[in-house]
Amino acid sequence: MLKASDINLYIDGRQFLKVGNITVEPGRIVTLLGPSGSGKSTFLRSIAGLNDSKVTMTGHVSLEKLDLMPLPAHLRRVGYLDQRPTLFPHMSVAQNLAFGQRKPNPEELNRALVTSGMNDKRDHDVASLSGGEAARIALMRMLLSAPKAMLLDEPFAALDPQLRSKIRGFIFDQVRTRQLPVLLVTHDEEDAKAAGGEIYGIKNQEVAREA
Amino acid sequence: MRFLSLGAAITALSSIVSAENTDNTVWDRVLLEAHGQTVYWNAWGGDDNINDYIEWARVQVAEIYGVKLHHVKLIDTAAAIQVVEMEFAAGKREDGGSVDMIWINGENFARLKRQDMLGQPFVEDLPNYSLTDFESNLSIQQDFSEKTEGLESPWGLAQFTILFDTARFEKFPTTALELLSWAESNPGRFAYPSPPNFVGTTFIKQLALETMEDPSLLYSPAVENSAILLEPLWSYLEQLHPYLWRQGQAFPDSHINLRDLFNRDEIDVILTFNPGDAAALVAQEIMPPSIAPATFKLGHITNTHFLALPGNSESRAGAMVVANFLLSPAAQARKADPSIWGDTTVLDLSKLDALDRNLFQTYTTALGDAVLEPHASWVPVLEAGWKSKFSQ
Amino acid sequence: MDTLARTAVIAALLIVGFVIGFPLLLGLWQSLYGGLPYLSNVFDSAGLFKSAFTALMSSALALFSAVGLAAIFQGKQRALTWISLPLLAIPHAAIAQAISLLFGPSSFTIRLLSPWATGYTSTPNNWLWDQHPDGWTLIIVLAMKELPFFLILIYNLSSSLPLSAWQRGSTSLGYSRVTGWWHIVLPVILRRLWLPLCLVIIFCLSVVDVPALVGPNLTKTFAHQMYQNWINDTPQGEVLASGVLLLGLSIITIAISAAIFKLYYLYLRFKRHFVRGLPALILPWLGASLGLLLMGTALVSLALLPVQSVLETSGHRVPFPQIWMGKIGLNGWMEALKVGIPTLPTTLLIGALTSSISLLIALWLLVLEKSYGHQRWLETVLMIPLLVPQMAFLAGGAFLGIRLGLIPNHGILMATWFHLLFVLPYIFLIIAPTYRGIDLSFRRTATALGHNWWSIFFRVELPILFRPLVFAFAWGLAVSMALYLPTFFATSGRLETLLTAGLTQLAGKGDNIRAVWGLMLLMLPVFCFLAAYGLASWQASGRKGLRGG
Repeated sequence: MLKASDINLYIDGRQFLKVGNITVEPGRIVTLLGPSGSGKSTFLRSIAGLNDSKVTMTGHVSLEKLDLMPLPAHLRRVGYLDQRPTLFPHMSVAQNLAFGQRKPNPEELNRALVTSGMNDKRDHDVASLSGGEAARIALMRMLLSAPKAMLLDEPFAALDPQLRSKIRGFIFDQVRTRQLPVLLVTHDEEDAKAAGGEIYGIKNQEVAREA
Repeated sequence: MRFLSLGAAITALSSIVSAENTDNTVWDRVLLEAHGQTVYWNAWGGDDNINDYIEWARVQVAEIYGVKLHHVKLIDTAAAIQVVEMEFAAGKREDGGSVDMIWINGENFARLKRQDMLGQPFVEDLPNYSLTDFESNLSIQQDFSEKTEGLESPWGLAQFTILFDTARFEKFPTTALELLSWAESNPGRFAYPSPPNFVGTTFIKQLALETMEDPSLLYSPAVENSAILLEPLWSYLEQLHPYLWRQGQAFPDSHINLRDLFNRDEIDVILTFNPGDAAALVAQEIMPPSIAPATFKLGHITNTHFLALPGNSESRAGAMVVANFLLSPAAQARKADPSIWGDTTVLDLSKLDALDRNLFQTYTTALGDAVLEPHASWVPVLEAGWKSKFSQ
Repeated sequence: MDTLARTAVIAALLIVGFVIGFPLLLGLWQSLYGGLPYLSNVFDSAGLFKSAFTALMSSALALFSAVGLAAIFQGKQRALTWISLPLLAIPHAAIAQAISLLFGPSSFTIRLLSPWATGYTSTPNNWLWDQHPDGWTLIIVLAMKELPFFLILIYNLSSSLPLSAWQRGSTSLGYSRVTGWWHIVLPVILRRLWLPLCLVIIFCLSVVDVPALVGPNLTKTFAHQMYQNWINDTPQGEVLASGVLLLGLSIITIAISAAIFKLYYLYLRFKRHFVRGLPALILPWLGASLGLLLMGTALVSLALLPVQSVLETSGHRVPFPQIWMGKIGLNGWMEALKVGIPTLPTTLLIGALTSSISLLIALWLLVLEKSYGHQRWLETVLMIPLLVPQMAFLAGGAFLGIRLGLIPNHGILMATWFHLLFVLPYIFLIIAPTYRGIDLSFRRTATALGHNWWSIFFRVELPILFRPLVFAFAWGLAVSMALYLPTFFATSGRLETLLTAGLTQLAGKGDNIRAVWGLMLLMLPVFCFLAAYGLASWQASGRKGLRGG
């Protein structure tokens, strides 16, 4: 269970977002719906500890009753997917996946390659991948790092509509089968509906439950 | 052991050679102290022949005296002067210096002497110093009017002259006026390096001596309105410049560049401070055999180049041994050989025994009448005057 | 991590302060103290004006040609890089040498054309093109050398910009590729080229070996005159005063170029009409043509060096317009190799040490900057050694070295220290934009994957930076190899590098020996660059994402 309460976010000391209470049960995908520029991505990154020093956050974030706030980002075990899939250009497809593993495990790696449909492209240059392929690799790599929760920052936003629903389905399936608590931020109501969980909105710089 | 016994043999030998006024026991002590010392000799390194000569000396002093000589090759002597000055400024006044011996003369010497950076007089301790004409040769007693006072050991003789191509010209100008008419009839074929290059400055000094109403004034210090006295020189140069290489719109930076310009057939003259250059440049296959020096009716500006020992050297004895070796008839004769270097000797040949004298038989000594360097204070006046007249 | 980080910041300050600030301040103080009383003695308005004129003209010409080339040849930068890298590595003196060989009145070229085309039966004595008294030859030679520097910097900078997106944007609005680049990319890039431009201007103001070869040598540039005075026994105080004046001139010249920049950006701000079509292509094409002309001339004249190096000119004169300049032989090479080869170990050791240490310090500062924000002043301090005339503060540094007992007995250490002052700023300049330009999402993603700071640094950032890193390393080697005065003062002249040996050899030698040394001095850095290029290509093989924009 991922829990955030009494959150206040500041940029350079100026408050820009308030979050009362969000709880995400394992296996559910909760959506935070809002226009671009409303600060929802910054909120997401703050949960994972990924913001730069300009952004400060007060409040409580816990994962499975573990207080995340004092932990350095790399120890929080919160998965995070960017709007564009970030693959490392100096690594092959398989190396990118392996980079996510905490311990070498070839079988698991192979399964991830098969799942993402990239078995025959394991040694390919990542620059040669299509948008959908890159998105699948980025997700599988994140899952290989065995996160205990998942934060999705519109990871299908950059894809064309047809591919978009396909990849969305793929990602949702993968996180649901692992029974992870997932928080999704998006500006698209379609995404929110497909997620099926509670929906929060942003009004007057404050996050509130909508449905 | 071999070194020691050799050293002893040489000591014995040098006691025969040296004149009676040298205290042998003092020199013996110097030789003993010098053995095993390392001497860093800062000397211009731009000439292979000179470098080879210094390399020869390195081998000699190592074998004979057990002194390890290193040639620190300089682009210009001022760099070594700066090093010494910096060391003194940093408190290394007695020891810890990195320059043990400098090839030096003129203003550089005066600069170190003025700042008391050359330690105690040493030349009279050198047995071979007595072979020079130190009693009467003014250019050994004085270095650009600065008294040497035993702080630098003479090494070679420099005399200003102009080399012409005998293949094209039978008669060379011998006066300033003849030079002007030569230039007029051969436009673009004469060039001189722009002051403050020392050969360029010497060229206008030589002209000043000839054009000034009272040239003797050049031998007393320049005063505030001395510049007016140079007017005849500037009007002479104003007449000469339109007939120079590139019509006086561009000047070579260095007298060395003249050699290339000559070989490329851009000019017909080479200005030099080495009277032996005519023979040496030919022998070393730098210049064609047809070059020969002009003789000036007035005589040639002459000076001596020296070796000085900074006061913070830790190898002063070793440096003295090297300086003395470089004054030996054998070393001086080798230096005077045009096929080796062609630098005129500072030894007084009449003081040598017949055997040693024979070594020098065929080499140039001096060109003719020697004219002393004007007082050093005229140099900035000449240079500033030249710059304001011609380079603005 | 926090106390560790604070310690790291303090250590960085101390190191930068000691390595750079100390000798610098001491040297400057010494110059001011010793030089101020002599200021009026050395004031030379003609020389100062000529310096400012040639420095501004040459850097403007280089910058204009570089942006022209970059605009016209978008996407073909590989070929241009292949030409630029060697040109960048070649010492200025080698190009100056080559140009004066190509354009002299008694040169090959004029002889070939005489008398049938030129009418000259003897060398023309009103010829000025190889050393123009107004400084045009100097301007052209300097521009030839600075052009590739700007070009490479532009490529490095563009790799961190979303070029293709911008391009799509401007194309869809109906601008051609070139015009779009000129309107959109140029203003962004120019702003970041400001500091490099200052470095180039200052370099042009204080360079002496180039004007020594290509003039102007009647009314000399101020720095050239200062050097001439220095080697011709001018009193110390006047030399120091010249250094102070040169510093003042640097400040004024930089201010002038800053004003020009400000005007340009003011113009951009209020510009309401964006030129399209043919008229918009005039400036880019003009720049590119000038650039091609400069590069082409440089390459042709450099290509003549090997020919010149085997034509033995010594010992006889070659009557004009006879073309056969002498006999062919390898004597020049034999002589030069005999002197040059023994200096290689020292040269490479100092260069490699300097480059490695500079890379470490530069990376360290950049890493700190990521956590503590952009420290502008630190960057400025780093640049100072390049912004202040060498002669002014080297004396101070040497003073310090002597005091510490490091001169003359720890030559390698001192030489590395002094070289660091000149190499570090360039290396910082090369890798900083790329390091800063690394996509933030790389670090974000890797952190979310559970990697700690160091793991990301070594496994993600360094490999992505590999190409600029090896390039910076090679550039550091090239800079180090071209330093004369710092090497001399650091070792009291006792250590010989290829350059110090070469320069002592160059004075007073025939054209063939000069050509040989020109080639020797350019071969070593060019070889380093090619090795770096090969290494980077090998690392990037099969990785399109690493080749940069």
